[in-house]
Amino acid sequence: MKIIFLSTGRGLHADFINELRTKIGLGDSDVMCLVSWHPFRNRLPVNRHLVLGPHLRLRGAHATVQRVQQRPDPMPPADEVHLESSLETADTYLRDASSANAEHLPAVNAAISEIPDPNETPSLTAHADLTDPSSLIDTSKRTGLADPTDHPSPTLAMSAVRKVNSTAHLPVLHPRRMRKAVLWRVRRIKKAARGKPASRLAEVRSHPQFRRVRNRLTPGVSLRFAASCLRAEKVHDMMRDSDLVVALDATSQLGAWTLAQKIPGPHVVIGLPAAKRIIDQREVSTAG
Amino acid sequence: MQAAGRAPHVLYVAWGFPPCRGGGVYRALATANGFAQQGFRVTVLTADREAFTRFTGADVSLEDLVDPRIEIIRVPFDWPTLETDVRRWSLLRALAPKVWRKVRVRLDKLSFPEVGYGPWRKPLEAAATRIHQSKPVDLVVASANPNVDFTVADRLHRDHNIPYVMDYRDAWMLDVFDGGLLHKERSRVARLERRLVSGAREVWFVNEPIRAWHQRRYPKAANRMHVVANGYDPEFAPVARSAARDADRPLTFGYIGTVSPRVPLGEFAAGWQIARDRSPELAGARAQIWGYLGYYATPHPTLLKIVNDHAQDGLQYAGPLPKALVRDAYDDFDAALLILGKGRYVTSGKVFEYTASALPIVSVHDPYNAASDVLRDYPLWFPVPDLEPESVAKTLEEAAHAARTASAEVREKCQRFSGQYARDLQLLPRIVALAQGLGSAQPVRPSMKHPS
Repeated sequence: MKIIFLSTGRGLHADFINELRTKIGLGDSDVMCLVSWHPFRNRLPVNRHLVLGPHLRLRGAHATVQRVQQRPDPMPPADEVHLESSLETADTYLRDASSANAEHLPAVNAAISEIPDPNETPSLTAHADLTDPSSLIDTSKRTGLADPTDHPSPTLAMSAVRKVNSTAHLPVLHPRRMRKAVLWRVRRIKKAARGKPASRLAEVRSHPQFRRVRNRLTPGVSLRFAASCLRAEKVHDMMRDSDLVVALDATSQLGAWTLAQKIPGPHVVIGLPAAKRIIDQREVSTAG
Repeated sequence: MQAAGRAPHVLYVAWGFPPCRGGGVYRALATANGFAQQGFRVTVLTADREAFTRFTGADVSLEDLVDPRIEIIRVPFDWPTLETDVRRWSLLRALAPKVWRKVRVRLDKLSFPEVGYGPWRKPLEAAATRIHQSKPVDLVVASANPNVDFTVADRLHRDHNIPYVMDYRDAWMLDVFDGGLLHKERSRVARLERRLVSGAREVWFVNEPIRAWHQRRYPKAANRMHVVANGYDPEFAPVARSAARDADRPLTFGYIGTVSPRVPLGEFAAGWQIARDRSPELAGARAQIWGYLGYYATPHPTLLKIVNDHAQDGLQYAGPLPKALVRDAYDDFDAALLILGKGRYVTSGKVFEYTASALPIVSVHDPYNAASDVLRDYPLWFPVPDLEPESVAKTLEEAAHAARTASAEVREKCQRFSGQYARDLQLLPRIVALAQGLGSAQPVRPSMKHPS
């Protein structure tokens, strides 16, 4: 039996996958596949793992094949450890923000200056598979700023710059994102040290109500995951010869539905109890 | 064997009937069997089997316990909100689930004000009308929840003046936990209940406080309201313990049932820790929790944390307990734990089963809980005066002492006490009264027995 799990969550880990296998009563001969939105640093114990979401291999196929069960969990790359420690330094400082001690600022600034800027150094590809040329990012294509005259108006140009600077689509531990995170914290520290009140615009932007409305207006992970499911041939191929597709979380349900519309055949359900029921029914009919 | 043609025909309406696995199914099963064994011709109107196998879980072994004389008519029941087959989803549901849910709730309440069950009203009433046309009905007994079951009684009463009984397992308007109202006074539910209660031949409740509340609310119908307690099912009940077990063996206290977030598990655990640390009789003792932690199969994280935090104190979560294994679980217990949420109107169905075990019962709940009324005269009852850890600890120590030293005579008294709470004995007086009220020529049998 071949089962495909769909998930947009970040929290998948090997124990969870093993628990899934036990809960729905899969045997060793059953094939378990995973289509996820986020890549995972630890290898997951599935037979095949496709990642649809933002990742470093931006060219080529819509779905990236993640390695599965091939080697023990790798240590995080050295520069990543460095970035994480910088973040911890900044966070520790922020925890004591009430004391807003300006003496600490030079230390933080020094830590940041050591962080390589991924836009300027080759460390951008630190996570990419260096043996695979297609995995390298073509930064000039990504920025789209090779010729500024392409942009007809300053507003559009600003918008394009904002898009380019956005790191929301990148993985959490991407060097650019990490650097932004550190810079953001440093700005906060500096503001706290200066004791200046936040600007009106910043107040509005950081207001939960504003953020909630903004989040509702932008297409969420659910829609992006569903669109990726619709486009990714690899997912379709995987689904065609499967017996069961299970959406594990609420944001993967739309993806499951789009796949169900496109590919006839396998059962498409939400949740583990429904999956178990289908498996039990199959076993009964097979035994009969 | 088919009952004689002149025997009254009772239509029993219960959404949850075997193979449904829900808690209320045992009351439904016992009621239908009770009428059949008293000579009534019984037709049960219930949901189709698929509703249980797909949505609630099914226990097909319960179908063997249905009296073979009972005719079962199943009405298709659709539950779109719980539909897990994505291929059956509409475009609206897939693209805008929140909007779909809001629309669904409104649609559900169009024909009857009950989310999830409202749309069942029309097919249910149509089925009841067909049954009455082919085999005239003399009495309708409608069992809630869901309350949509009452609509059959209402329809046949209005169209054909057939008397009906409303069997409440909980309450429709009353919030049994805080004593408030679940629906507004001028709501559709309030108006419906008022009309239904005023026309009912009898209204049954599971305990006295709920009945008293309804009697105050509907004084004109007060004399038609009766308590039909849940009782315990003799075929599943524990075997009474006639003597204490080996004195060297550490004691086991046991709880069976769902631990909802309203249950004072934290207070119990704190008291248990104190008692176990200082009482030699509780040395090495265990407190086992059987059932679900929370309302779902996945244990509630807060409740699970309480159990894990007290694991070194012998507090154990043993997991869900199938009905068939309940007896075996009691065999391991030396005392039973009744840990209930606060509520004047709350009685756990487990209270009655606990009494059948003849074990010391430790009540860890609000002293004004309705369960206290049931247990007041039980010889080995140990209620906590309040939920302070010290009070709980003291009560547990007293119960531990009783578990070690209670004599055979006291335990026999416990067993005799529990006899009154067998489920069939709770039902029998009402069935006899209804048979007499219908002028049944059929002799009412003196005792009820479950089919083997």
